[in-house]
Amino acid sequence: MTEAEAIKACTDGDAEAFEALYSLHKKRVYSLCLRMVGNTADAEDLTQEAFMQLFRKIGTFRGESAFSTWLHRLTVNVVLMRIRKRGLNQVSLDEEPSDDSLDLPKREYGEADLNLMGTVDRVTLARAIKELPKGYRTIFLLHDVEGYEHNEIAEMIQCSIGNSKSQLHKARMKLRDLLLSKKNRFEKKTT
Amino acid sequence: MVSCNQIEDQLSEWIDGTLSSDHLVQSHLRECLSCKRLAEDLKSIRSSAAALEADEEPSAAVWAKIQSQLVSEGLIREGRTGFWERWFPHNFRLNLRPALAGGLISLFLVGVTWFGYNRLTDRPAEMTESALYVELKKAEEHYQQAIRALTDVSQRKLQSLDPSVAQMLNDNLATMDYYVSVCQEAVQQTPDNPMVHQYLLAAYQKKVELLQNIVNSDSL
Repeated sequence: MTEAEAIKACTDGDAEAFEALYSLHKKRVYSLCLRMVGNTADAEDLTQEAFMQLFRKIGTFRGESAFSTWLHRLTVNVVLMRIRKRGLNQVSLDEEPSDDSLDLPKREYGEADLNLMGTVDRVTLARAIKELPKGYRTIFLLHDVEGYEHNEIAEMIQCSIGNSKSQLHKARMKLRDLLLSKKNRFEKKTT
Repeated sequence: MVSCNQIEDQLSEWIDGTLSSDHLVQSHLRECLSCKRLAEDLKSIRSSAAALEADEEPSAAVWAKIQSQLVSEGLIREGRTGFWERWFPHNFRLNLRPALAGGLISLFLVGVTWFGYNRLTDRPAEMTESALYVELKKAEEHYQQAIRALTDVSQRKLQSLDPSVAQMLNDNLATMDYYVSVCQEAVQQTPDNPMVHQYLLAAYQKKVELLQNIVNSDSL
């Protein structure tokens, strides 16, 4: 059964079609949820919620965008809604955080900084992303991992485009700090 | 020369290609090793993030819960094939050889359970809705009685089997119990939906079949 056939069959209540769509998209939806909330229990709960919303609304899908894009956006909205409802301890997206709250390293200009040398492996990066404060993590994931533009992010999380850009930059800087720390720890262990 | 602080603030936009004028950044990076390395790192982080794969998979429980919710909300329509043929894990089915012993008790229990089930399916067309639910409830009770009786016998049987076989059968029983509990939950949520009752009955039936196979497992 193709995706298009499954979408049509779902509107007729075909059980096989629901399963086909779930099988096709479960990894992407779950991975997105897991990265954004950081724990498997919430991620599974949100995956269930996202697919249920999808199946309830599938009759309204008109094919103006790719189905995966539509589902992806729906999932992001489900996750963001949950984050807002729970009032998770995230960095405010409306205010510029102080340097203390961000805890960014001070660069010594003019000196040769430590450098990642292009070695950012997938597992290490995924772990470092988990350590980001939730507000930075959300914007970093939406922009750099999921590929949303700043205007889309601003609309989704209800902040200004400028804030989105600023938070993304700080998230990347924080990630660099985390990755350098991990790299240094690893090198000390091996020497 | 522009300061490193000023350049740092523009680096992310420069990397993303959204900076309206980038000649200041470019000329600074040619002369400042520190900022150049920072820019390389941020680029590396960005490209590695874009390459992260969606390779995490939810547990099977997620789909089971979605199924249950689809049923309870009436979003699925019953097709020609049965519920278990579509949704029950294929690797669960056991290919046990015909039973040589224990047949009598199984036949008796099957008779009891099918009596309840057939009374439900052979109901007259004019049966009222309330009478239908009474019949459904009776059928469920028949299955529950059969399961209780078979469980006692099967537990004793499991203790006499090879540990690896017993483990496999216990795993299958645990899976079966999970599906039964999902269906029971759906019935509790929407007791007026006849379809969820039907699924619960089908789950009970499958559990009875599995217990029978265990009881008759001399030939394993």
